[in-house]
Amino acid sequence: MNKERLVVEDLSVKYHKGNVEAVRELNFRVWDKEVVAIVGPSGCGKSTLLNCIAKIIPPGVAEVKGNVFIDGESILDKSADTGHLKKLGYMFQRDTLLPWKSVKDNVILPLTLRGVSKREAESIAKNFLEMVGLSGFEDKYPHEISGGMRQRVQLARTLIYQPEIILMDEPFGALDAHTRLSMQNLVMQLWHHRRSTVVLVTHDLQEAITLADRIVVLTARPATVKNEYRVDIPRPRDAIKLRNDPLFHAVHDKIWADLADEVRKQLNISERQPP
Amino acid sequence: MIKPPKVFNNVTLWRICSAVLIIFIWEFIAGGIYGNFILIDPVFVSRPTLIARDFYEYALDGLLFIDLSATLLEAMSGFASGLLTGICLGLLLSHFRTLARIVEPYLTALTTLPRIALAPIMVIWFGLGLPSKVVLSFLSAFLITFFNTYVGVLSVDQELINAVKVLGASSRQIYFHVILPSVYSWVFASLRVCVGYCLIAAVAGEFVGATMGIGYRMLLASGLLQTDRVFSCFFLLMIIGYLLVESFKRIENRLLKWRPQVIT
Repeated sequence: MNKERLVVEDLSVKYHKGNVEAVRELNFRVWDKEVVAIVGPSGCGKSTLLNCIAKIIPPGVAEVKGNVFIDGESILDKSADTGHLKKLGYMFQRDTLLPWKSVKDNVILPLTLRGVSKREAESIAKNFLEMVGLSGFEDKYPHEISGGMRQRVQLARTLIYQPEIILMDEPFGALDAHTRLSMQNLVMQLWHHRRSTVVLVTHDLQEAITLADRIVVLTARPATVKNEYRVDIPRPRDAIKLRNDPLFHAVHDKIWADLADEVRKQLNISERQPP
Repeated sequence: MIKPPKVFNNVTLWRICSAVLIIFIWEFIAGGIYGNFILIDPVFVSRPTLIARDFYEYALDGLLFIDLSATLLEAMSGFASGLLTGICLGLLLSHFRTLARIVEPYLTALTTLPRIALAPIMVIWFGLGLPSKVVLSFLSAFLITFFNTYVGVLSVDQELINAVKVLGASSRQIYFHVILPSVYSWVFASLRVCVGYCLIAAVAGEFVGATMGIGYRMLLASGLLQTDRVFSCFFLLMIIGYLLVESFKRIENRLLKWRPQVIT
């Protein structure tokens, strides 16, 4: 039996501002080396969930109940400790590269923070930049490269310190359809290369099916688990070819019925109570 | 296909042509070309040729050098000390949020106050020599930098901090990798404006009371109706102002080479 890496137990999050209940008694677990996609209507609290796991919700902004365990250790109890972060990688939806650092310096940042010498870090970075296809762009600044390239730099920056658990918050949401598919293929290749545990939040069901072993469907706000599905499409998968796979469509239709319900609910809610 | 830059493109040509035209018209209406035709008395507007001659004399007897170095010294020492103090105190204040909120209205009032209004009191406090002007340009640079530093700390992108924190940064590392660079970008972006204000402060201080400097020379000449000298000083100020702002634009682009370059 595989071991549990991440357990979310009865997690509830209520933002003080506007008294918004983002997450209510949410439970799910992620096994070692598993790719789990979390889908739900937009604005349902998916990002809040990831921020809870990464512990970057500032105290005083929200009331957090329940617990999150990484490798059996509770991370919410120890208020000041950030030791668990060493195991975590987090790829944000928005571009969070430091604009004043070159591509290379952005990628080696996690190593610099860990006290790795610059020369050693740069030789490691070389491999990772090659992997994401950005050799030759080392000395560019983020504003000089395209959105898709910046997202690949972020990917390299997340992977370079080899986190055991990677959180991804709609990592390709801002990219055009074409770039997104090739990014999905890239992520799958890299995952194949060095398997880690991945929690991927997305509102794109096709992306979820393409990448994940298991899909957790969340309800409209406040988010709680509505249903879980296994995706039994054999690997390696190809993001583009999958679109013509009958198995892909069967899974898609089954989950979509569930998801569409919640999307409708979420829309109704926001119509009745404007933010 | 990118064209190779021409040394004399149309813009440069038109700049030279318009300058020549303006000088010619000026010379003409003040009676320098056809002596019987004087539209405006040169006592009021002088004449390009008279100004050029005066400028030459001004330079030759060494006064120009004395005035120029006095004004530049006042402006630049005020600028440098104001910049440093502004950054340090701005960073310091951002650590004491409650104190910052208490003194905020004072700061806003001081920043909106025309700094020239402080010139008379500075001359009373620090005398007619250089110190009063140094203090004036110090205050200009200080207030701008101080405010920018403080706002820079407050407006650091929280998501960048979160991202770097998840990558394993301690609070100290967050300070050096995220907060300080973000503040520097605010401060560097204000260098040009700052150096301009320092020059204004130095000259304004000289107007109120001084023993040397371009502003002082200008005021003196104006009292004696030496219009040529007034214009000489005027053009001298224009040239150093232009050179200062241009060179700080380069410095700024250099320091902030990670962001799109400033053109104007």
